[in-house]
Amino acid sequence: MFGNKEKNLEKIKDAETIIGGSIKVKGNFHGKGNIIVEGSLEGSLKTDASLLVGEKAKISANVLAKDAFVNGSITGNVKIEKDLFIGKTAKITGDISCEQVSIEKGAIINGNFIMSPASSDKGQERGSEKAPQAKK
Amino acid sequence: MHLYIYDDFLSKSRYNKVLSKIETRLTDLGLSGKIIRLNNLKNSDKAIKEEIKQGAKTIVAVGNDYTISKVLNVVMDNDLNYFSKDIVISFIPTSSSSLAESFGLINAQQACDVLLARRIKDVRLGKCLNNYFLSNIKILGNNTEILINKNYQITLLKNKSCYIINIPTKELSKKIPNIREKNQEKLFLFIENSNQDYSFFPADNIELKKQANISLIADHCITCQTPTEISLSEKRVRFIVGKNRAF
Repeated sequence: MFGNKEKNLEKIKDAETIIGGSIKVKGNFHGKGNIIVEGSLEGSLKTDASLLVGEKAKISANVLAKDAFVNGSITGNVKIEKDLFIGKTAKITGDISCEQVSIEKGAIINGNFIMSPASSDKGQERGSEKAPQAKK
Repeated sequence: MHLYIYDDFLSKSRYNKVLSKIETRLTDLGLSGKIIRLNNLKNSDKAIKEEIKQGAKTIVAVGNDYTISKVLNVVMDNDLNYFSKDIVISFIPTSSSSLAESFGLINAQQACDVLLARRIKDVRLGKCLNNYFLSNIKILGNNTEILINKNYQITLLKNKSCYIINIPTKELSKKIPNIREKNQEKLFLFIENSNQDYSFFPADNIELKKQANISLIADHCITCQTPTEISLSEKRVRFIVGKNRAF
């Protein structure tokens, strides 16, 4: 996934749901397609596909998705089935679980990381580790 | 048999010319039929229903967005459930019309040709309380609260325009390309603040609470009251469309 980051980002732009910057969503948001969040969301967020969290987005919810690109703020547990990309403007307060992760310098993460093994990939770093508590 | 339903406003003399052109074109194309004028809505409803029961299969609304909306709501009446599955609806716009554009109808002359070509598209109707709508509902107001799928609530902090879309207008389909490819059996809530900032939600059910400062306009012509519930109806209509339709 990370090798084709640009391609994947382009694909997610054709999202099924877009929460714009001037929108506030409250409740249990469950989708099947790609979701882009640029505004604010409170409650829970779940999708069977990819999630893109914009720089100005504020999510106070437990998040469940297949893949995720996070550039904004998330307060809640983040459970990603496959790959998680955390951008330099991201701020995550909560536990994170995923199969693979990429973290840019500048991201703020407060919580535990649980890396679950990929079903097909072998020989990659696995296990559970404590995430950095301070700003990188 | 074709049944042409002329809106009330077409009785004004300034529409004589356009009506004459339409009638000449329809005669040339061999599409002549019976005409009903909507001068008294209650009697017209009865007359339209009677014609449908007696075998009219192609109902052509001649007028503007309001005409097609009125005709649609008569044809979809429960009295006609037995007959409505065989009915095909068409539209001849006598002036510029957003709904006509959605259906690929450019002007009255071209709409007559489209009627002859008989390209039929099955359209699932939207329902806002007791009104059926084809295209969209525009929501006007500030600090509007919208409940989607009974699961989550959206608050519009500031917004330029807000639509609940069943069939997009040409203008909306430019902003959200391939809208119907995204999800075939859903309504879409589209909120635009600026070109760069817009929101888009697929929805089965949309609820608006009673709010004093908000109004809803279905298909550019029918005003709906709040509180209301908007969803896709089980009813479908077969519509004659042009090549350049927006869906």
